[in-house]
Order: sequence, then structure tokens, then C-alpha cells
Amino acid sequence: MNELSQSDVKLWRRALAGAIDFFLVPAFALLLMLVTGVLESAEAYSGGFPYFRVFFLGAASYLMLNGWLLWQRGQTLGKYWLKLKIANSQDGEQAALWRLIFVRALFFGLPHLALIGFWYLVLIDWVFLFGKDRRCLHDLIASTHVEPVTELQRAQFAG
Amino acid sequence: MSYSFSFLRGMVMVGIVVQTIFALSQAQAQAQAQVVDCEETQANLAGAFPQFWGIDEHSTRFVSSQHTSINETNVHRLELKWAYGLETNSPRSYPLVTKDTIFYGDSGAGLLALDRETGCVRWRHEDSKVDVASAILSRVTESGLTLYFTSRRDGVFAVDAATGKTLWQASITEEPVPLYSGTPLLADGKIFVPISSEEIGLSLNPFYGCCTTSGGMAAFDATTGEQLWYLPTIEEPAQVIGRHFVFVKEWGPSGVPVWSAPTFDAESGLLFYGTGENYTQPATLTSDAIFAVDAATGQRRWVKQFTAGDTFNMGCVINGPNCPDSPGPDLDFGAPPVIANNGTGEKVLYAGQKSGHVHAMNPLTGEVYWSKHLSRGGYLGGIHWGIAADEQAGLLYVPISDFPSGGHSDLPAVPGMFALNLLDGSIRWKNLQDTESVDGFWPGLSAGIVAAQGLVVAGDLAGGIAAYSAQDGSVLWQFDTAQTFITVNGVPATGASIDSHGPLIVDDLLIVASGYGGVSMQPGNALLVFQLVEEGADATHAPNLEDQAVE
Repeated sequence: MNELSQSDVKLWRRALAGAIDFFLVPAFALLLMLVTGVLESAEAYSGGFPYFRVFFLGAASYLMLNGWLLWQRGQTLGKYWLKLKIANSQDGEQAALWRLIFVRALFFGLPHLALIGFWYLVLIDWVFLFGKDRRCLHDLIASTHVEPVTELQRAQFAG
Repeated sequence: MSYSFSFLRGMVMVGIVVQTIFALSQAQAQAQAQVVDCEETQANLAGAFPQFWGIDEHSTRFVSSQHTSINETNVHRLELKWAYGLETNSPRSYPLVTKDTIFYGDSGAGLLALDRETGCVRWRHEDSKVDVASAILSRVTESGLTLYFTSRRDGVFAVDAATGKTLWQASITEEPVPLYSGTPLLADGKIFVPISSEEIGLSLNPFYGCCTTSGGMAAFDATTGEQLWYLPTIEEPAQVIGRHFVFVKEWGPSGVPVWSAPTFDAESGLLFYGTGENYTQPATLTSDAIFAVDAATGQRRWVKQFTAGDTFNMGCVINGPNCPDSPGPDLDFGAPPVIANNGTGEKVLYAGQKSGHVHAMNPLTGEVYWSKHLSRGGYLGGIHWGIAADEQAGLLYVPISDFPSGGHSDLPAVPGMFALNLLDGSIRWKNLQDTESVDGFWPGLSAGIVAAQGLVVAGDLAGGIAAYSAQDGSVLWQFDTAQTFITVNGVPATGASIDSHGPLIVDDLLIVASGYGGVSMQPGNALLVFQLVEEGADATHAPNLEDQAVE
């Protein structure tokens, strides 16, 4: 079997990592919702559909699941398991947390929005994957890229 | 440097996408706003009719010869005058007609003023996104004619009939998720607004803690919109009665919505209305009941329950965890009660229920004179949206749907029109729908009906509309609205189930909306205006697609 190039490996690993996060974050948000009861009462719906509450549940779930990993290693849970990390596209160093949370993570919900009809938004984000450097729009805007975790970094993380 | 360029490139892309989406939605809104196409936008507001959902404040749904020239001798001359393509496929409004204008609610596309002769649009309510969910009422005030209607989530609106501008808007604060799905009633300078609850739909969500809210009736000052009183249908506060999924609390009692128009008797000063089921246990004494309330103060005079222990919500439809352990049959009073003289000079209160029962009561005490069980009933009727009374003929007209659904008795399904004697409820005649030969939709009579001298008109769920003779129930005129129409506004229109508020007869016109996309029925968007034509005359009528030659 020919050895796959690094970028080819990244694509299916990135997709799988993304799929893990895609399901994990809403599942945790569901648990948060049950425990807090934030969407359980009539008052939550008194102003119409509680979009803000749903958004904050999703954001809280994302941060609770991924916050420490993002801060320490530039990883989400999915990327952690698939041995990937997010780094600065300029120098390969770990990306600043503010950029990971307030720029890159804003695009996290696009695949979920695709399920309710906004498919074109995730298409616009992903179409850039076919560019030379294989970076989605959210990576371009955040000036990051996704790369495999090296052996050295794995050792450092384990230590 | 390249960081800045790629960042900028990305932001430009996002900006282009957002701008495009915004521009498209603006263009759509602009196109909608520019449908005003009558040359004359000023309406002649004289002669606004009817003033009530029920035609009169007793809800008889009888149009006298003062307001219509249509009767049993000429109804066969009705022909389609024009068709208008609505934006909604589930129309739930009832027209108000003046000398030259028809006001109609196009659900989420707002209130329309249409030229009566041509169907062109004089104006559209300034907030065209208001979801009109009721008949259009009116009242002459110092500033001219004011229109009133309810919007499902936004409450009651008062609109200037000349310009379409909102004069005031009001809603209750006693409930967190009220649903204004019934038509109000104007009387004594007040507007009485029936209150239902969005919890009927929220109960579908298995993670929602059903339910805590109550239905009710609210009274507002018709001039200012100031709330005068509110009477809930359940007085006991909801308590936790259980849990599911470990965390989600279950609450009760709840429900008992009011989603039909009230009826008013000026002589006694009483307001009458029917209620629906409890959403959760424990069941109360006020569900599936008729209320009599002092219209001036909102004090209960009497309540008479007809089906006890009825606890049901939409969670039962999907076997969800919010469905009560022993769900009830969901046998609301969706039809407004009717006050009519029973032929002996006595005023009697008649009420039709989804169970297929008709009840006759003393309006002052609630004492039941008689009850007749006509049909098997069920979730969608039985008697669903409205009955009618012809006091001169001594008849109570009862449309039966018996749509195949749950909650029904063991009686056979008998969709069709019944005429009962007002005095004792005995059947004078009945005309049953043919359910065997119709290879389309169930032809039950679910919508409200309208009566005039010598006839009663009803639309069915398969799209048929017919006028029945008061004498023997024979069909005097009929029309199949389940077809595609070429419309005066260029929007393709298809007729389908005739449901909700039903047809109106006024002057020489019959007006009906065809199509109802909610609750298992067939969606459609045709607003149809029929007119009496001279015997043998070639009518100016809106063609349908079958009229066109095949090329």
C-alpha cells in the first residue's frame, strides 16, 4: 500500500475528528439542558423560540468539553483522539486561545445549521478545503491550520 | 503580511455571503410590500359585515335577508367571480366585507384589503408579518372604522380600516406562552379575547416540563386596548406531579384552552364560551365545559362540564413522555355556543362538541335540557368548528366531520349535515356524505357553516362546498374547490380541504377559503368569491386551468 501523504491522512482524520465533535458537543449540551432545566419551563419560550439559550447551551458545552484541551494543546476532543492539533499557519506554534474560541469556534455550529436548511453556509466553509493548502474558511480567517501531533508532542502531552 | 491578507480574504467572503442573503430577503419583503395594485387604495367602509364570527352576537351564523339576497330559490345561480392566491396554504381567517372591500387575513402574510369587484389589493397591513389567526371584526369609532383581529403569538390588534395602520396592540401577561387562536368578540365597548396555550405544541418536546399554563378569557377596552379583566379556566396553580428522564419535571393541572369565539347575550350580560381538554393530570372540573361569565366583571356565573377526566396533549400523538398516563379522548368545544329561540319564546344555549354531541341548556343556569349523540366524534370532530341556527325555520344545523382519528366512540362515522329541531333536538333531516365513492380525501364537514333564508352552506374536507335546502336537506348548489385556479393576483392557487371558519354569505356573494394545511388536512391557498348571476347570463368568472385549451 502506498504511503499516504500527510495532507491526505489529515483529511479523513479531520473529517472523523469533526464528526466526533459534531455529536459529542450537542450530546453534552443535552445533558446540561436536562440538569439545569434551562429549556424546561414555559418562561423559556415566552419570547418565542429560545435561540439565545440554545446558543449558550451549545457554547457552554463546547467550552466545558474542549476548553482545557484547546488552551493547553490546541485540540478538541475529536482532534485529541485522532492525534491532530490546531496551530498557527504562520509559524506552526500553538494558536492563541482567543483566536480559537472567538474566531475559529464560531464556525463550529455550521454543520448543525446545515441540518435545518442552512447547507450553503457549511458548503462555503468547506469549499476552501480544495485549495492548495487544504484549509477551510474558518482556518483562513483564524490564520490556523490543522496538523498531526508529532511523536515529540505526544510525549510532551503525556508528560 | 500573508496573515492579514488571508484574514481579509476570509472576511470579504463572509461579508459577501451575508450581504447576498440580506439582499435576497429584502427583495422578497419589498416584492411583498409592493403587491398593492389597486389604483384606488381608499376603501368605502360603509356597511361593514359581519360584526361577529357568528354573524350576530348570539353566534347563530344566520345571515338575514337584510344582508344577503342569496336564498333557496337563487343559490343555484352562484358562479365563481374571481380567485385570489393566498401566500398561506393554511388560511384561518373569516372575511369582513364593506360596500367595495373584502378584508381578509392571509395568516403569516398579514391582513389584506381587497377590492370586492376585482380582487386587487388596496393595502396590506403595515406589519405584513403578523400572523392573522381569526375572523376580522370591526367597530365604528370617532376616527372611522377600526378593524380587530388576533395574531397567534402577538395578541389582539386594532387597525385603521382606511390605511392599514396599527392603532394599538395588546396581549395578556398572566400567562407566559398564550396562544391567541380564537376569534374575539366585540360588545359593550369591549373586546373579549379567547386564550389558548402554546404548551399544546411544546408538549411534543420530550425535554419540556409539561405543563403549567391555563387557558382563559380576557377583556380589553376596544378603544384603548387597556386590559379590563382576565379569567383563567383553571384556578389551582400547577404542582409537580412526577418526573421523566430523571430531571424533567411533570406538572398539573394545566390546559383547558379556549380557542373558539365567545357568544354574548346583551339581555343577561353574560358571555358564553367552550373549553378544551386538560393537558396533564389531574383533570379539572372546567375542561370540556361551557362557561357563563359576567361580561362586565369577568366573574364566573356557572360552568357545566360535559366530558370529565379528559387529559390530552400533542405528546400523545407521538407517544411521548409528556402524554398523560391515561390519555383522554380530546373532546373540546371548538364550536362557539349558539343562543337561539327554541320556538316557544325561550332562549336556549346550544353547544356542539367534538364528541358528536349537541347539548341544549338554560343560559342563565346551565341546566341541561337535552343532549343528542349524533356521531362517533373524535380528536377532529364530531362537531369541530361551528353550528348554526335558523330560528324562523326552527332548525339547528349541525355539520359532522367524524374524520378518522383517535378519541372516538363506537358509533358509526356519519359525516354530513344534520338539521335538528331547536325545541327537542330531534332530527328533521340529514344529508350524509358519500364516503364510498370519493376516491380522494375524507369529505367530513369540519368547518364552520353559514345559513340564510331557506338554506345552509358547508364546505367539506375534500374541497367540496354545497348549499343544502332547509326544508329537506337536498343539495341546491355545489362546487368542487379542489382544483387549480388562475387568480387575479397571478399567484397560482389550489383549493383543497375547507376547514376552520368556513364560508360567508353577504349581499350576492359567497366567500370561502379553500385549503388547510394544519392537523392532517390538505393544504391549499385559494380565496374564492362567488356571485349570483342572472339566469342564463355568462358569468364573469375566474377561469381555472381546465378552461384553458390544451396546446
